[in-house]
Amino acid sequence: MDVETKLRELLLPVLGLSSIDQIQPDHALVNDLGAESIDFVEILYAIETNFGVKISIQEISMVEYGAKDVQEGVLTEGLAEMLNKDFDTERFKAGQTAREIFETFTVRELATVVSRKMQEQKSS
Amino acid sequence: MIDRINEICPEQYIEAVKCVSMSEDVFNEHFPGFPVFPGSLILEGMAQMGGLFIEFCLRRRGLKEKRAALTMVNRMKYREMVRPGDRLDYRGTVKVFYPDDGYAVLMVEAKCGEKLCAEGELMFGFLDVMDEKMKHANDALMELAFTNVKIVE
Repeated sequence: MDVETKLRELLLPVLGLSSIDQIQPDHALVNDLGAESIDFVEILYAIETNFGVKISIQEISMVEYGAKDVQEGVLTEGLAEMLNKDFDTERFKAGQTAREIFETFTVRELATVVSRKMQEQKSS
Repeated sequence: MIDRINEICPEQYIEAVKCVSMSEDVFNEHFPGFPVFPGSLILEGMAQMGGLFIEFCLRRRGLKEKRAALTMVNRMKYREMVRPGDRLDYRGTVKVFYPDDGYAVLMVEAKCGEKLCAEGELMFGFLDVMDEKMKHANDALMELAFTNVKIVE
């Protein structure tokens, strides 16, 4: 089973949903699926126990990216480009706030972070 | 739901005691003529112990405003019945403790003598205390709970 599908299954009980069809890869965890901050600790723990990789809340709340290159609290052109490349998308635009990005962070993007971590762990 | 905390080793384990007495109100209903201490109250006791323990550990790290909230009960298994007169020894052992990510997981067990009565895994998320009154009440509770407790470093 690929990371994305397994992740969708893991999210079911955390988000109180019953069918995997209710969680689509392009759904935003916060805006579409209603995840709250307390849910994220369960999500992180479920990832750690099932995939064997530790993801910090900073990594998915975009704080790490935010700390790198944010002007007046919004994304710069360069950072948006980097995010688009990292997550293979075009949705990141200059001018978005870190909060907006966190709220629209999708299941697929979370799966990307998990896959990347797993690869990093394998190669080290 | 716990009578005393016996021993604590910060960020590693905690041990507490609950003495089950026939005079507890719960036995009027649970069950008439056949008193059994409810599993939900064993869980509550272990969750209270775990919450106090986690907050104690957070305070030692300078995070005095944080409160531990029970967010998940995992694989809780009740193995033996607990009857009036039994002394329950609760133990919580840290599985993970991540102050920066805002959560911790404890493996908990309740024993009566050598007999394992319940075991499981409790997860706590950390929340900021906003209310001043709650902060004061929490300070008083922490002081009371950890007076005369053996602290193993």
